[in-house]
Amino acid sequence: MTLLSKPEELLLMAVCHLQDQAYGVEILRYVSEKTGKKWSIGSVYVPLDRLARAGYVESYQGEPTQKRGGKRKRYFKITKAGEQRLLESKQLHDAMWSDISTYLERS
Amino acid sequence: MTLWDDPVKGDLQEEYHYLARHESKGYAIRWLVKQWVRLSGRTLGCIIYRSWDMLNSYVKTAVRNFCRHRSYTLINIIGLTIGLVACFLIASFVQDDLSFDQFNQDKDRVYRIYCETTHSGQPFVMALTMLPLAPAITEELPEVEACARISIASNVPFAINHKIFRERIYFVDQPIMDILTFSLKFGDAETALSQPNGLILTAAQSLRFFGDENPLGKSIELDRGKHYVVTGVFEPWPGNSHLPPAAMASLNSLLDNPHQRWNDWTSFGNDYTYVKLTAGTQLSSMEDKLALLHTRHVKSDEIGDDRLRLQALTDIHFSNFNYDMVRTSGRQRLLIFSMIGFFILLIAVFNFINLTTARIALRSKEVGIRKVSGAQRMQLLRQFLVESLSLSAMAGGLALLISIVLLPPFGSLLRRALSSTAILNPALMGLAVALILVVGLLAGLYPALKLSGIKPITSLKKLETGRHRFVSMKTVLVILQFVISITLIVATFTIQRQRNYMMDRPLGFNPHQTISIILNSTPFHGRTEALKAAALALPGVESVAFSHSVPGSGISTASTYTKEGSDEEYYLFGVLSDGNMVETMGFTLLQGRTLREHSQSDAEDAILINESAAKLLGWTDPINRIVVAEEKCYRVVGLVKDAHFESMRYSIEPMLFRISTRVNFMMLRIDPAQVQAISKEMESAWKAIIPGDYPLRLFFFDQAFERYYRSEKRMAEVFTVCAALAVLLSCLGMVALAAFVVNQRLKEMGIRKVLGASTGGLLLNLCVQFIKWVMAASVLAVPLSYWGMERFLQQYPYRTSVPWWLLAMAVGLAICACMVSVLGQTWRAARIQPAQILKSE
Repeated sequence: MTLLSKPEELLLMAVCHLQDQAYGVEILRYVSEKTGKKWSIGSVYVPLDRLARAGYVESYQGEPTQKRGGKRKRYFKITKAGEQRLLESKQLHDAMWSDISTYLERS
Repeated sequence: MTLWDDPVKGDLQEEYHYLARHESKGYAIRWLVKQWVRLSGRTLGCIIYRSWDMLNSYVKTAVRNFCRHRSYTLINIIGLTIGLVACFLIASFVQDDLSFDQFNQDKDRVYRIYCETTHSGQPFVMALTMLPLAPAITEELPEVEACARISIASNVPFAINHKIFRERIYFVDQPIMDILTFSLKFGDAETALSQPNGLILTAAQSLRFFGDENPLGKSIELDRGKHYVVTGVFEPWPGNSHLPPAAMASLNSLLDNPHQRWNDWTSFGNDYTYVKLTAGTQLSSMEDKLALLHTRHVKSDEIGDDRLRLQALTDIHFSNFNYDMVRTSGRQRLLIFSMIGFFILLIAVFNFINLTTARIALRSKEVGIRKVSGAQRMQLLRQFLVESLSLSAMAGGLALLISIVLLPPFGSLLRRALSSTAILNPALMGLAVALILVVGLLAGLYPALKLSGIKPITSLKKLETGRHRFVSMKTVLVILQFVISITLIVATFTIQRQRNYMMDRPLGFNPHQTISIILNSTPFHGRTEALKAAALALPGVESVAFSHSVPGSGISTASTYTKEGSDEEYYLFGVLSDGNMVETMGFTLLQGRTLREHSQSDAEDAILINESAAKLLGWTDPINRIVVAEEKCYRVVGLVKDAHFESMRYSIEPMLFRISTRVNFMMLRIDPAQVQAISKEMESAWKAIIPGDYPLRLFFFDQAFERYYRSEKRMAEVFTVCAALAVLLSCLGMVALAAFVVNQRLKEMGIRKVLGASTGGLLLNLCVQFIKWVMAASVLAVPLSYWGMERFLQQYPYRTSVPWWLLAMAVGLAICACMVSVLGQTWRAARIQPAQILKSE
């Protein structure tokens, strides 16, 4: 299976962290704040759609609110497979970090 | 995920309000626009992905429809293709014109210095400057990073292996290599001209002189036995440089030539000055400093109204200065071209809209059935848009291919090197795609909106064909097409007529009765008497004269004169000759006498003036009046009838004729029947008298004047092509429209015939409709084109008029073209067998 891309991984973590507040604008603000970069709406939704197709997140509609001009929110929720995938990704990182940590500390 | 999905819309709205509150409204709007732009590609992709099956079906329907109506589809595509080709070609020409000098690296900082002054109260702008200006600027103005002169010499003999080539050459200062961008094939641009007698050849010259070998280090003998060493060869000269291609040599090479102009601040020769300013220099302050510098070097009474100014490098191609080194283009011509291109495209687009509309209008039954089977209005709209877009895309693709093939020949028509790849630049491609989209949408939208709103019950109840539904818009478009066509025809005729007028108008002398020999840059000094004796000995030669300028060569000497006892200044052009000029050219003497060749007193102070000069000076009896120039008095001894020395695009200048030994031309008054014999005899006499290998160069007045009107000729050519195209396109549209209209009225024709109408009557009945459209167009076009052409002719001081019959001819031509294109269809309808068409009722 293919590896998660960096944006996919970050967004997956964001969805996981935000719990039941994980919808477009919140995710956007969270990743923008953490990475210090301006993410566009498209750059949030496109990888999330990809993750949804792969089955790592699922989405459901919220209640329409006045603030959003009567539009519904689209909440994202991480699935079991998604959590599994994140852990695998972390293990992979850790394994590779331990391999190079000695070189990095030396310099 | 698209822009239209609710959650996305909601998110955008929420964040927009958040940003508007916490940052600023402008920031929020910018953010929103950015999001839209970044999402648009994805949105489009999603739409196509989601509606792929439907799209497929639309394309299939469209293709089937095109195949069923092959001839109509063909006419439609061909019409739009022709219009687009014309538009692309003109656009690439305009693009080329706009690209002039843009390749220069520092084009934003490079300026040419020109001189603004007044002559006889009229503003006069010339591109020339004085020679000592550039060294002074380099010395005194720190804002100028580099300053250089270009001094032009034409017809300079280049002697290579005892062969003489006559070439144009620029004598330049070394910094010109830094100011303008040149690329060298051989040699080093930095050093090639730093030594005197260095010479850079153009690629074409190098090929002509030395073939394929590398010419670096070869020696070439130029004018007056000076030897130059080839130190460089240019890459092929860029076609979009305002400088015409020529060899370059260092101006320092001429320093040993004692010439007063080196230090003369008031004399203007063929010298141009270019400067490169340091970055960030203000143009206006620079011009002020230039004016200060000018006053430091020239006494205020000598400056007069002269003012040195700066012209941006990229403006040179569009300016129209006196004594400029090249024929420039002028923004007016560019505008005319763009307008023609636009109008031809308009005709083609109208055609396309008309035909597509007409064809789709016949499909109301299909729309009815689609609606009954559940098609939504949006879907129908999309179907028709897909159809018209695929038609316009086909025409666009075809047009691109054809333009690429046609570009080089089109360029040669306009004397411009246009390469096939010129059309593939991003700006033009963007324009092409936008055009195709807009045309496709325009043509599809109207019928799509109309048809998709049909109630299925009305369209299915009967064999309803939607007659008269689109007639009003169609009529308007057809009329507009013919307005454009008729206007272009009138323009073509008028330009042609103006050219003929200028060619036929009496010049004030007989151009066939005098020929002239160019003496310039040959060792003729001291041999004029021998030449004259040899010429006069020939049978058929009536008289001989020498002069500084002749009709068709332009006059290069002019100065200010005052009337005796008055301070008012008049600007007069001086024609210097040996005194025989008036007789030899055949100018008409109105008052007084001509100049006497060997009279000492005449050589001293006698002058003739022409009618324009007399008018300018306000004299009706000019004989024995005195004019003063540089504290010298001249006495008018005769009045000469006005004769044209220049193109008839300019009024005849006020001139005076004076005796002088500064001559460039030898003129022979001859018997026109013996031109061949005389020029042959003269050639052998020339060989015997003039040493060295200098060929005899003849100058024929009729040819010289014809050359003046080349741009009118070219313009007439272009207009002829464009008018023909416009008429052709209008006719093409007419053919298809006639087919459509006739088809709708077939039954009517059948019934009329049953009731006793004759074939001729029916034919008339059908044709009247089309003629009416053309007549309506003429009502609009005739005053419009008359007004436009009268305005166009205003720029010529000697102009023809737009006579009524010319307008009538244009209208007649349009009616004929219209009749020819509709006759086939109407003839078919008029000869219909009523039984055949009515049997189904």
